This record gives sequence, C-alpha cells and structure tokens, in this order.
Amino acid sequence: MNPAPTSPTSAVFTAPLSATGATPLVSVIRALLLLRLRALLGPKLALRFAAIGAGLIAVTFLAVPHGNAESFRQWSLEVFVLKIVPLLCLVAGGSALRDEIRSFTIEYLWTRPASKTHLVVGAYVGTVVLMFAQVMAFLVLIHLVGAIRGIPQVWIHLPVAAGAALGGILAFCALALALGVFSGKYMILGIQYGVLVELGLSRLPSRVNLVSVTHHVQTLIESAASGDIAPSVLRLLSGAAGCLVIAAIGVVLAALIFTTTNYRIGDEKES
Amino acid sequence: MSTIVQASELSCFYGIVLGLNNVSFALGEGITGIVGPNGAGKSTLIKVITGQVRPSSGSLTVFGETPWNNPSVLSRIGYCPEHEHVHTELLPLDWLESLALLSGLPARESRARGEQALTQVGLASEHWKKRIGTYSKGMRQRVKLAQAILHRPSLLILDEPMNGLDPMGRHEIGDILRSLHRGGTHILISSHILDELEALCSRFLMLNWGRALAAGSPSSIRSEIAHWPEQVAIRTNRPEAVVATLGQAKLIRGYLIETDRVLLWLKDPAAFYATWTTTLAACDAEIYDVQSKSTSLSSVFEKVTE
Repeated sequence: MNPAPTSPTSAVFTAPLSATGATPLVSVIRALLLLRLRALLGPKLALRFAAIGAGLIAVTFLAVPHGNAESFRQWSLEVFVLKIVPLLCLVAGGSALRDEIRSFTIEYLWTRPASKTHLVVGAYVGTVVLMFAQVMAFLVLIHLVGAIRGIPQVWIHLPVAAGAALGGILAFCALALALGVFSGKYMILGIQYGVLVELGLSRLPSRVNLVSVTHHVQTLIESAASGDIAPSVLRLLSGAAGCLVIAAIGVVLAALIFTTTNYRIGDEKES
Repeated sequence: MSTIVQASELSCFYGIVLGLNNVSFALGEGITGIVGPNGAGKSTLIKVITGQVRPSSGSLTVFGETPWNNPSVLSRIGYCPEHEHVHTELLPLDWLESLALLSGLPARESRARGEQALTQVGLASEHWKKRIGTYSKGMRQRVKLAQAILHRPSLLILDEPMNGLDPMGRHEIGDILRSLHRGGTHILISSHILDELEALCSRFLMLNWGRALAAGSPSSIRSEIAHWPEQVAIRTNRPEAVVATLGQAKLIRGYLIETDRVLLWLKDPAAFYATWTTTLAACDAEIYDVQSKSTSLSSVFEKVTE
C-alpha cells in the first residue's frame, strides 16, 4: 500500500479555485489570452503582423490619391473593414482551436479541468481581443498614411472604422471559430460562406440579408453617417445587435461541435 | 488497495479502426506500467483515461467517475503525452503559467508553481529564458513532465516518457518519477521498452491488439498461467553434470547448454524449488548463479502474447 496522496509543500499553495474542480471561465480566458498574446509576441507571428502592416501602408499609399477623402473612406471602410478584416478573422478564428488540434498541443489544454465549452469561449475571447488590438493598430497605420496623404479631418473616420471593425470581429471570429472546430478545411468553407452569404445574400434587398454580418457592419457604418440622432442610434443598436446575435450563434455552434466531436488529433479525421 | 482506474467491457473504435476491444481491468495505487507493442492500444487507453476520447461502448472510470468532459476528474490527473509537440514559440515559464491558470490555480501562484515544477524536473534555470523551440529532446521531455505535475495531480499519466532519451536522461526521469511516487502521486506509465518499466513499476497491464491480456505483478501474472513451464538459468563450471543430476531427479523437461551456463525448463517448479539446493549439492559442480528467467517482464509478456 502506498502512502496517502499528500504533497510535502501543499500548504504553500491553495487548491484549485472551484469547489467542483472545474477551472472558472475567467481563468480559462486569462490563460488562453496570455497564451495567444505571448505567441503573437514570438518572432514568427510578430513578423507576420509586421508584414501585414507594411503591406497595408503600401496599399494605402497606392489606393488613396492625395486629399481625396472619398477614396480614403472607401479604402478604410468598404475594403479594409468589410473585406480584409473578415479574412483576417477567418484565419485567426478558424485556427484558434484547429491549429492546436493539428499540432497536438490541444492535449495540453483539454486534459486540464477546464470544460470544453469554457475552452471555446476562452479561445473566442482571446482571438477577439487580440484581433481587435491588431486591427486597431492597422487602422491607426492606415489613418496615419491618410494624414500624410493630406486627407482632411482624417482622424474623424477612425472611431467609425473601429466601431464597425469591432462589430465585424465579434461576429466573424465566432463564425470562423465554429468552422475551425468543424473542419480543418475552414478556409475553403469560410470563402464559400463569404461568397454565398456576405457577398451574395447581404446584397439582396429583403430581410434575408439580416443573416449576413456585412449587412450589420454596414448598418453600423451608416449610423455614423446619419445626420439625425434618433435614426442614428436606432441603426447603431440594430447593427450592434445583429453582430452580437450572429457572434452568439457562432460561439454556441462552436461549443456544441467541440464538446461532442471525438477528435483524432494530429490529423483531420473525426467523428 | 483502492482502485483508481476501472474499465468494464471497454471498446474504442476510430471509424473502422480498432483501438480497444472489450477490455476489462482494474488498476490500483502505485506505479503501474501499461505494456504492449506498437498498436496494442496503449495510447488509445490513455486517451480514454485522460478524457480525450469517448469510449465507443463499455465504461471506464477514474477515481470512480467517467473522465469524458468531467473537470472534477481531470483536476486530479496530470498528463504527459507521447509526442514532442509543445508551444515552441513560448518561454517555458510563460507556457507553464498559462497551463497552471487552466488547471484552476490562482494567478498569483501560477508562475511560482511553474518555477517549482521546472526545478523539480531538473531543468536548469539558465534555460528558462530560451524559447521551448530551441530545446533539445531531453529538455522538451522535462518541460512536458513539468506541465503534467504543475497542479500536483493525484494520478500522473505518462505516454512513452522515455522515448528519444539517452540512458542518463532515462535514469533521471525514472528518479523523478520515483520521487513523485514517494510524495504520494500514483503513476500510470506506458512504454514498449520493457526493461525500463520493469525497473520502475510493480504492477503491469499488458495489452495486445486492443485487448487486455493480463494485469498484476509479473510473478502474479505468471502464476495465473497454469501450464507454463518455469525456466531457470544456472551458471556453473560443469553444465553437463548439472543437467545429468537434475535429469536423474526428474526435475527438468528440457535444457540448453551454453559455455558456462545451462538454461532449464522445469517439469514441476514447486518440486524443483523444494529440492534444488540438496539435489545440486550432491552434484560435482560449482554453482555460481541461479536465476529464474520466467518472471522477467519481457518473458511474461512474450508468454501472454503467444
């Protein structure tokens, strides 16, 4: 018979926080946020971030003629927020858990006493926070180039772009996360979804366009352009609610898939 | 001795690929080895125990509860996987801090716990400032072990922890595991390198082709195999004389003579062990060494897989 499981230094540290043994959601979010932030600060991801930033600076210089406010608005909102940000979200959200599954490192996460639902929420929050921070940095760079290109009152556009980007990031990251936990081919699925829903259904002049995130982000952008306060607030609330509802649906779907799937880590087979 | 892991008619399939086939066993306290060749089902069993894979049928409990999606079981388990994959872009303490938080440890203690774990596994502090991606195989193995013991689990599960380590590294990992066991941690360790497990474990679960062949100590498993002839190796200056003496006493059913050694297949092990000293004393030969061959782990495993 072996001795009872006691640790000689157990008095130094407290036991896990939860009485049920499950790690609280706030700890899971903090853990995954730290993990992603530190990975982002690593040389590989930092280089990728710098390359995207440099590319955006170059394209902004080319796309925005000197002093042309309309060109700048189109580039920063219509192209960057509505086209490039969704692609960035697809990459970041889709890979949030899928890359861990592919690279076997998911074993270190899901053998912890954190529920799989909490892991999904933690991965989502971590992705959204870091994606928003990166997009804000890119937006500042774009506006800096706008200022250099002599765009009048260029910084007025920044809060609008930031708000619209946040709405888009919340929804797109959730959908991408769901695609990522569903399949390793999330990029292909995401592009198909983008063409069908975001570029297709969003343009239909009927209420079916409510299913597209682009429609709600555009509503957010238009709320800032509206002259009257009442319709402006209404549009703002409608756009924000649309993004949040789609985000919630995406996270719930991701959690359902992740908790019920029997993954075979290291490859793409699962049942 | 209380049961820690219990399986009842447990089966696990990956599509049409068989992982475990109708396996039943009970594993108790201490250091237990899971033995079997590649493809025996060791890793699948470990994945079921650590809640990573849901059984296709049957049941498996750890500390009396099913581990699938069960944080209360997982909070008592530490797991060191077989593969070498880690978050290579991170510093070891940063990685361990995040994993400690995931294990439910308070934020203010997580980093200190990481430092303790790294010290415990013998990773020198001058390496803590290097990214894990730059580590050697042995150092990665230590970091992997550190993440498994971070939260002081009651049950530590290691999948092929000696893979790729040099003899010194294997010896050191073995010492760490013995020290953890003395501290009260129960250990479940899988390997296909039987000699290493034999030096470390007192009990074994033997798997092959997804089936549990036997469980217990090598001698208890051997005793369960009723018609198994015992083998004994005797080192002597006159092997022929030893064979002749034991043959006349009708204690052996076969033999193999090497230069200064004879390998004997016993007719009746009980009768042999009751009389061998007096029988061999009458033989005109010097006896240097008598060794039972059949109780070694490898010979037991060889037998049960026949």
